[in-house]
Amino acid sequence: MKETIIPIGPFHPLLEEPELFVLRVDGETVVDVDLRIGWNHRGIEKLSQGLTWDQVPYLIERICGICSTSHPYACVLAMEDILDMEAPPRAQYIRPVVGELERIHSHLLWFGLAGHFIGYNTVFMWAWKYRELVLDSLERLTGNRNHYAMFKAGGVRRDFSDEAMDFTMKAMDEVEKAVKMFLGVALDDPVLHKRLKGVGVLTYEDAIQYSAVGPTSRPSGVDHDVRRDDPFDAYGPAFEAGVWKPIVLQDGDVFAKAACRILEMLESIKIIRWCIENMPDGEIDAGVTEIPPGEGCGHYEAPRGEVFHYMRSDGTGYPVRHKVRAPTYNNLPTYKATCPGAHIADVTLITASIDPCYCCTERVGIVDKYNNYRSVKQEYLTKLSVEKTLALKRDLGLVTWDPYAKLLK
Amino acid sequence: MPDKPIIDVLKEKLGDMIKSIDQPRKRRIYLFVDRDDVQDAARTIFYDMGGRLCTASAIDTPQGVEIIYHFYLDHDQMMVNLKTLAPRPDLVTKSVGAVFKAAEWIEREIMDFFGVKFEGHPDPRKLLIADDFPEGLYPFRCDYPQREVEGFKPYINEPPNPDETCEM
Repeated sequence: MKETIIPIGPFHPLLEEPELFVLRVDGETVVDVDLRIGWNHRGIEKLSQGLTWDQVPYLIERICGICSTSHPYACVLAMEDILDMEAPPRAQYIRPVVGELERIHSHLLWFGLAGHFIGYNTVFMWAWKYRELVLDSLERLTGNRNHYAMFKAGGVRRDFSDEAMDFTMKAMDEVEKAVKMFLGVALDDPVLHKRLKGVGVLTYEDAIQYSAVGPTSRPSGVDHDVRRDDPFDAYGPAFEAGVWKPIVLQDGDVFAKAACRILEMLESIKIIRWCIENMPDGEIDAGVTEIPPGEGCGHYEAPRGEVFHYMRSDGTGYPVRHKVRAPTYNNLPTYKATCPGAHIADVTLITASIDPCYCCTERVGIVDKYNNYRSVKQEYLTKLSVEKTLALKRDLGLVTWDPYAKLLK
Repeated sequence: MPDKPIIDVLKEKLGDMIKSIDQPRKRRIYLFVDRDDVQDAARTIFYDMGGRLCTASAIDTPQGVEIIYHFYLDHDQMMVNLKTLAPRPDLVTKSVGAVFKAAEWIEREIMDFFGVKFEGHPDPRKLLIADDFPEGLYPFRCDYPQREVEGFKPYINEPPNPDETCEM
C-alpha cells in the first residue's frame, strides 16, 4: 500500500496554539493521524503560583483571547469552592450575561470561519457583522470588547448600567433575527447537507472514551452541560424556570456540530434576556480578603466545552497549585477517532469542527513515501475544500458563479 | 437525583481500596487510594458509575507527587476526586491511561512536568515539553531552578540598544 505522510503545522501566525498534525494518507484517504502540541507552552500555571489571589484572574484571562470570560469564571468558582460561599445575588446575574455574550461571539466567529473554509465567504461576512453587535454590547456593559476583567472571588468588579442593559436587549433582538436566518440558511442548504453530513463522525462510545466536552460531544448524544449539572449562579434558577436547555443531537458529524453551535446561540440569547429582566438590586461584591487553606475545583461551560480549574491554598497569599485545563485539550485527541477514513479535503472541516482555536494549517509540508518533501500553504488545503464544495454544487446545478469554470472548459 | 448518596455507593463499590474519603462540600468528594489500586478505582468510577474524566492534577509534596484524577458524574451531579501518591524517591504509579484514552494526554503532561513514571502507559512520549529539554529537569517540581541551568539556556530577548535610532 502506498502511504503518504502529511505533517500539518506547527506554526500559524494568526491564531494561538501551534499544533502539528501528522496525517498518514493512502491516496486521498486518511489512514491515521498523530498529534503533537506544546510549541507555545507559556507556563501560565507556574506563573499563577507566584501571584496573589487578586492578581490570578487577570493573568488567567490572558490564556485565551476568545474565552476571556470562561477561564476567570472557572477560576473564581474554584476560589469560591475553597471559601464555600456564593457571590451576592446581583453578581450571580451579571456573570452569566458576560459568559453567554462571549459564547455568542465565539460561535459567530467559528461559524464565519467555517463558512470561509468551505468557500462560503458571504456567510463569513454576515456572521462577523453580527458578532460586532455582540462585542459592542460587551463594551458597553463591561468597558472592553475583550478581556473584560469583570471577575473576582466573591463577586464582580463593575456593575452594569441601565443604558448598557437596554442596548444589550435591543442588540439581542437583532442577533436573534440573524441567528434564525443562519439557521435557515445553513440547515436548509442542499450543498451544506451534502458537504457536511456524515463527515468526521464522532460516535457516542468514542466521545465517552475520550471524555470529549461541549459542542464536540453533545452532538454525539452525550447529555452533559456543566451549567445544568453543577448549577452555579443564575444558571440553576434559569434552568429550573425552563428558560434554556442543553442542545443534545445524535448524528455526531460536522453538520450536527455546526447545528449544535447555532442552536446554542439561541439558548444563550434566552439566558441573557432572562438574567437582565430578573436582575436583582444590591451588592456586587462580597469583599473576600483572604483564601483559607484547602482545595477547590471550579468548572464552567466555555463556548468550546468545559473549562476546569483546580486550586490549592495553604492560607498564604498565593496559590500552592493551580491546574488549568482548557476544553480543546480533551477534544483534540478525538481526531484519532474522526479523521481516519476521511477524505483529505475534509480534514480542514473536521479540525475546524471542534473549533480548536483553529491555528495549524498555515504551512503544510507533504512528504510522500520516498521522503520527497514539498511545502504548501494553508490556501492549498482551503482550496481543496472549496473545490470539493464547488464540485458538489455543479452536481446539484446550483453554481451561480464558478471561479474554476474557465479551467474546466 | 440518585436514591443513595454517591459517597455510600463509592464506599460500597471500592471497599477496602479507600484509605480515606471526605465530602467537604455538597458536590465534591475527595478520596485517597494506594497507587496499586488506582487503575481499579478509576475503572469503577469511569465505566460503572459513568464518570467523565475532567483532568488530572499533580502536586509536588514532601512525600512524593500527589496525583488527583477529577471525575464528574454528570447524572448524579457529583465531582469525585480520586487521589493517589507516587512516593519518593522512585515516583512510580500505575497508568490510568491504560484503562481509558481520556487520561493518556494528561499523564504524558505529568510525566513531562513532574517526572512521574506511569507503569503501563500505552504511549509514553513527550507531549508539551521541548524535545531538546535536558533530562532530569522537571519544571513543576519545587526544586526546579528559577534561573538558567547548565546545558539549557532559555531564550531571552536582547535589551534594546539605546544608541540605535528609529527613523520615521
